[in-house]
Amino acid sequence: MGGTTLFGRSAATPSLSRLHEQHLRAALVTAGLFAAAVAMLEWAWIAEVEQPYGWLIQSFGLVGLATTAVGLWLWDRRPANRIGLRLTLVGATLIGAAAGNIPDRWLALPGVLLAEAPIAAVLHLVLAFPSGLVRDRLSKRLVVIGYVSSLVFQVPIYVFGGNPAAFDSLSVDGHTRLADLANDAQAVLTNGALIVAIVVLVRRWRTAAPTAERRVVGIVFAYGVVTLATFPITARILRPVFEWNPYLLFGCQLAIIAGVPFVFAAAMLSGALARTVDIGELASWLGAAPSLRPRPRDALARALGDPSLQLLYELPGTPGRFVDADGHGAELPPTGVVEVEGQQRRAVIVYDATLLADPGPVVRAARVAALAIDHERLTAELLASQAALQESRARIVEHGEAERRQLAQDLHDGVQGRLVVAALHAGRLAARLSDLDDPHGVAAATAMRDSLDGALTQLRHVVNGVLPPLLGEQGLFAALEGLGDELPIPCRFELRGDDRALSITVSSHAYFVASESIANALKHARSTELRVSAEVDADRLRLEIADDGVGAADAAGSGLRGIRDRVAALGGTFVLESPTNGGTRVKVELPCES
Amino acid sequence: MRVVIGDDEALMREGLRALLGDFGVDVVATANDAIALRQAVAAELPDLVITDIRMPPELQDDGLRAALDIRAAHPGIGVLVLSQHVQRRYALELLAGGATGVGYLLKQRVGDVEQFHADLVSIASGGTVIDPEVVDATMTRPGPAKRGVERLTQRQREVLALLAQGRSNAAIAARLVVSERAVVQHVSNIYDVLGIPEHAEDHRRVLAVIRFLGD
Repeated sequence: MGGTTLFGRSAATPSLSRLHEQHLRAALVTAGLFAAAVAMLEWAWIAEVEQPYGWLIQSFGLVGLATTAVGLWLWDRRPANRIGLRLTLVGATLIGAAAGNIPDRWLALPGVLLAEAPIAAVLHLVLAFPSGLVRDRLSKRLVVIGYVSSLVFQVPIYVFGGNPAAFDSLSVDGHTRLADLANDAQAVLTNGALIVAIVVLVRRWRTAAPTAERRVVGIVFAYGVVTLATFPITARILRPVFEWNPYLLFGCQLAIIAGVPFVFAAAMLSGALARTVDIGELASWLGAAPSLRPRPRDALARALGDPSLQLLYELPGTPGRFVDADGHGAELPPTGVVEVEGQQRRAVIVYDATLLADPGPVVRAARVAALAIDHERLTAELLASQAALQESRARIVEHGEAERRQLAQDLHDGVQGRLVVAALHAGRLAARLSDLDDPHGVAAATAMRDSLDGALTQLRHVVNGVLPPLLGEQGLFAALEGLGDELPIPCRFELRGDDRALSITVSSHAYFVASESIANALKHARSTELRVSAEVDADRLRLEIADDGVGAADAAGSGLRGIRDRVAALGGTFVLESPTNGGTRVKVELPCES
Repeated sequence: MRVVIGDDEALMREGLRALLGDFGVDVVATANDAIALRQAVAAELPDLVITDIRMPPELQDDGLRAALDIRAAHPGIGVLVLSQHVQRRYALELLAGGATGVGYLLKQRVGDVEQFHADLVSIASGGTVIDPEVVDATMTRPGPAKRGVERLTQRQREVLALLAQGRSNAAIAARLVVSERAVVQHVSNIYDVLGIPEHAEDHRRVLAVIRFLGD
């Protein structure tokens, strides 16, 4: 059973998506290396400056690098989820903001412009948890306000403030009116957005369903609220009002931000939340082109982390009978069964109840996959009915063949024997009447004997047509050669293998394929010579009947169609080669174990 | 003449016993399968064995196998194989031993009781009798060169066919309405054409028949 790969049904058909995954990993590794290079350069430049708490300022970029690394790693692990991307952006803005401490006016410029960006990136990250996408309109607006406020107002603050020292940008330290104005506007907008966001998160958490997932979401939201609150509290209250040491405050900010990637990564990859978000991957699976889309069972097994998972469909008209996607029957276990809703016919997911104690994720997965499941259910029904049809065709052909054999047997054992004995006694009677010198009696008895003889001759031909006795007495090869004796044109035989290993069923089917093909050749082909080859190996019987006639045989003609139908019903193969003026070859393969 | 009969049909066994009784032939044993037939023949050592082909225990060609074994083990015992159908390959298998005293006939030939009795006597005394059905099929069988048979004249072929059916020179003469001397001359010419060397007369006849049936 598959189920360990989301994309691609087998190694033989590597899908585009798999290539896409490989490209994604290469891109993520490249981005990581670039971030590391930038952070290392910053470290080196900042280290040149002798200043108090230099190590603290230097570690700013390293926290950014660590956040970026965790974000990229998460992105790789969960490509369909955007939290990895959000976290990477937080890391990137931190690395960017750290540049503000480089003792070079121009190198520090991007750092000054990005000084407030980490706040907006963290805001975006927390509001987008757990899917990585911001869903409601209010949250979307908060995110936009955050980015605009933190990026746009940096320009007047920098231009009019006249102080390129980026580190102090968190403090209120404007030199001109315009810079002050921009600073105030930024403070109002950013901090307002942060406070509203905190309210949104608390409300979101309170209305969440009481599941294991809720606890994890609660922890993440709580940490998010603390992180978001850190910015206004440190910059607007502790520093200006209580005049705390700015290095201490910066250290606090940095420590809290450093915890963000680990809290989010832990939440994403553990517990009930991991399942929920994996189900998000089902959505991207649904969006894939149908030809690239793996089977629903495999996608569900991967999303739910249960390789033993089965997706079963109830057969129409037979309640309680379930089949899998290939049409194989299956039993429902007492536990670990979830109905797939909204289906024309019942479909169920059978999962390992000890592995997934909570059916919640399975139910949600079932809803996501319902559409595709409906499609696969129809396919499964079609395959099942096809299999049933094939079986019934084989049964019908077998039944007909068995009746033939029984008829031949009955004629041979009963009628033929008794007619022979009758002819014998008629002959005796004629001889006795001859002794008694009764010419009329002799004539009558002889007439009786002769008509019995005629009946026996006719009956012999009938029995031979129903099932040649040679087939039962000496096997297929003898019967084919016996057939050759009855033909008006020469026939060569190439017979290989052990025909005694064949069942009478296969032998008689093969015999009739040969005799029908030969009859066809004699009727239509105007051939002068025939060739019959038969080869028996462990599990196949290969039969070829060739003539040297005019070719262009009509595959739809009754004779050849009968052969083709018979062979198809038995699960064999039929090939007709009949080029104009190139002779005709009928090639048939039959499975032997029937 | 002492005869052992093998046939799985009781009616057929009893019919044959009655028929042979009419001619004063003594049926010393009957068998309803191939195993019992071999035992009866070994015990009685009859002049002639009459057997069906399809018989228990395998219900395949058990009777034919038994006939071949009996011919190999007791060349002096004549063997007549009867069947509901005739096959050239069975005739060839029976003649393959090269021995004389063998017959292969359709079962329905028993209705012509006089001819049947004559055939039994012929086989018991070392003759070879092949069913006219096989002979006719061989005559009309198409195919490549029959190792000399195609070089025979029409009349020579007719003589050879009757030879294969086990007819004596006198019978052939009567059938073809020619003198017996003419038949002897035809037979001699047939041997020459087919390249059959001079040996005992019966043996040459068998060789000619095998040549005729073969290919």
